[in-house]
Amino acid sequence: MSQAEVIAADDIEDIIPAPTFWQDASRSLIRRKPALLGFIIVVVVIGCAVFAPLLAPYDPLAQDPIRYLKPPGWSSGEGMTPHWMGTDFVGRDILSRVIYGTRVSLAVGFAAVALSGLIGLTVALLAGYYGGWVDAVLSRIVDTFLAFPLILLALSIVAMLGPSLWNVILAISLRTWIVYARVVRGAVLSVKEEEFIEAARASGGRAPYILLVHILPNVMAPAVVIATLYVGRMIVIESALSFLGLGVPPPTPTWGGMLAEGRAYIDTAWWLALFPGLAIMWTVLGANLLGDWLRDILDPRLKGTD
Amino acid sequence: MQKYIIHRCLQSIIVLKGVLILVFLILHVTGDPAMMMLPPDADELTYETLRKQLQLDDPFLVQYGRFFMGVMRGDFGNSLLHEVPALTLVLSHMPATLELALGALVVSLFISLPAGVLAAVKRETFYDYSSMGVALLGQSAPRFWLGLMFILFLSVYLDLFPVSGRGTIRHLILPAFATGLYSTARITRMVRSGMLEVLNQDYIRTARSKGVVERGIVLRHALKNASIPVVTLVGMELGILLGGTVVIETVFAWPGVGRLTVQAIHNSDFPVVEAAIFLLAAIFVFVNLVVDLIYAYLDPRISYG
Repeated sequence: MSQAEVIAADDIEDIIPAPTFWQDASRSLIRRKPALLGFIIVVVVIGCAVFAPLLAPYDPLAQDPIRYLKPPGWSSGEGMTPHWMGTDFVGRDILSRVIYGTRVSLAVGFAAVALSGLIGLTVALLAGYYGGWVDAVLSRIVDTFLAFPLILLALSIVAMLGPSLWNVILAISLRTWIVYARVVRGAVLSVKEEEFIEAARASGGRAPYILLVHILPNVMAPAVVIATLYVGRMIVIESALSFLGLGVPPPTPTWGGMLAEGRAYIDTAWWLALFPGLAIMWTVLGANLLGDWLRDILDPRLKGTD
Repeated sequence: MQKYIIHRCLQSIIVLKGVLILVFLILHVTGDPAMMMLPPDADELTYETLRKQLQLDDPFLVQYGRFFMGVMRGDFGNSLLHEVPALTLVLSHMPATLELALGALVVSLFISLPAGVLAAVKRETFYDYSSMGVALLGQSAPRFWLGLMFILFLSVYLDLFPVSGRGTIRHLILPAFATGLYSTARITRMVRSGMLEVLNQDYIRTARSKGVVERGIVLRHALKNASIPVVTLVGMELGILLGGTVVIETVFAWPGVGRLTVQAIHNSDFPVVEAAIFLLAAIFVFVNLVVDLIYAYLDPRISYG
């Protein structure tokens, strides 16, 4: 390579800076259609939760004794009535309740992912870093929780603590943290053998400092991927708890609670059970598509762990 | 191998002991069983009498010791609602749950094995994309909602299957499909990626160059090797399915352990809840133990350390 060519190559590097992680990520998001679809779905659902009062055509709790169990306008041949998804057995607008239902689902989804992440990461860091008997004890605790049927454990905890939003989040998190613990522990085991950890230890770094400053940032990628993949799972679990009558108590609209009400009218009013279920499926699909994409760009080794 | 078996058995026993402690902690420490069992308008005297009757004022360790010794004798106490031994009651509901879980597993294997193999063989064709799309939807839809939709379309509108209950094979089909679809989606994706990995191996090329017909390559050479991770997954799925039938049993009024436990939780029937959770967890631990041993037998590369 002549000197002129070397200079030209240097110039180009000056002119076109290397793409940052976010530029890379946004390009791959636009190229990958399913991920883009997931992203759009998630943005729409978050939008519904934030702007629910503006988007919902009715008060989700307002009852209308005259217009109860009205089918969706478009299906009854009456043209577009104001109730696009029909009304329930006390005349509440299903569409408004589905829109408001995003709030509970997303609140539980995000909060449960955060809380279980906090517990799981703590256990993984301690078990992976200290090894020995600490690891053995914590691993058996993880195995113990793994053996519990998720729904029954969550139901029992909510039954004992009483149904409320926070108790539902706590009950779900108390079983799902093990996923983080299992996956991140492996990552901690490999990171702690790296030379920079040895260097940190040699220069007098204490365990909490090494764990939080050196190891934690290096094992965040798998944790973020699990968090995204599990938001959808959390939403499904919350809806199952509400369906079984031990979720967030009425009158707060929840998708699972609406499905439970719809079950009683399945042979006469199909719209009660159809739309909340579609909302769950749609939201979980969006979270899953986005999670698959994040996994591929952040940590492809995690394939198959969900 | 013998050392490995003993090691895994010991681990399983420790886990089961952990399960017992946890069941006890949840039901005795997070709340007050006496308060839960009484109606809201019960007076102080009734409350104190019940606490004494249930020996709830004893020190925690004494209560746990009594609970543990009872469980060792297979005694979880009597069901407060049905007034029969809780374990007997749970065991009498177990065949229905096993039937549903096994039915769901058969359904998922019946669909996912051919679907996964075909998706891998016909990679990046319409078939591959559509089966993966359906698998993704199957993983996103809540099982109990699928159950409700099956009831709506196949029972209410088309009148092909009974709405609820247990008895004939027609009763089993809808709940088994609703329970099994999530596993179907997972296993299909797993079979596909396993097959894709194996189909690129040298020995497949060798088999092809020796003139083995494609069908033989796929079924005898590729599927056999791709099935090792699937065996683990299938085992784990059975464990998950046993605990995962809870909501489906409620949807279809299926008389299994899941529905019994949900009712027991609503009625504060603690002995039944404890017995059911322990039994389901024990089956999960046992199935996992068996799967690990089969896995070690199938794949000699696994160390028995």
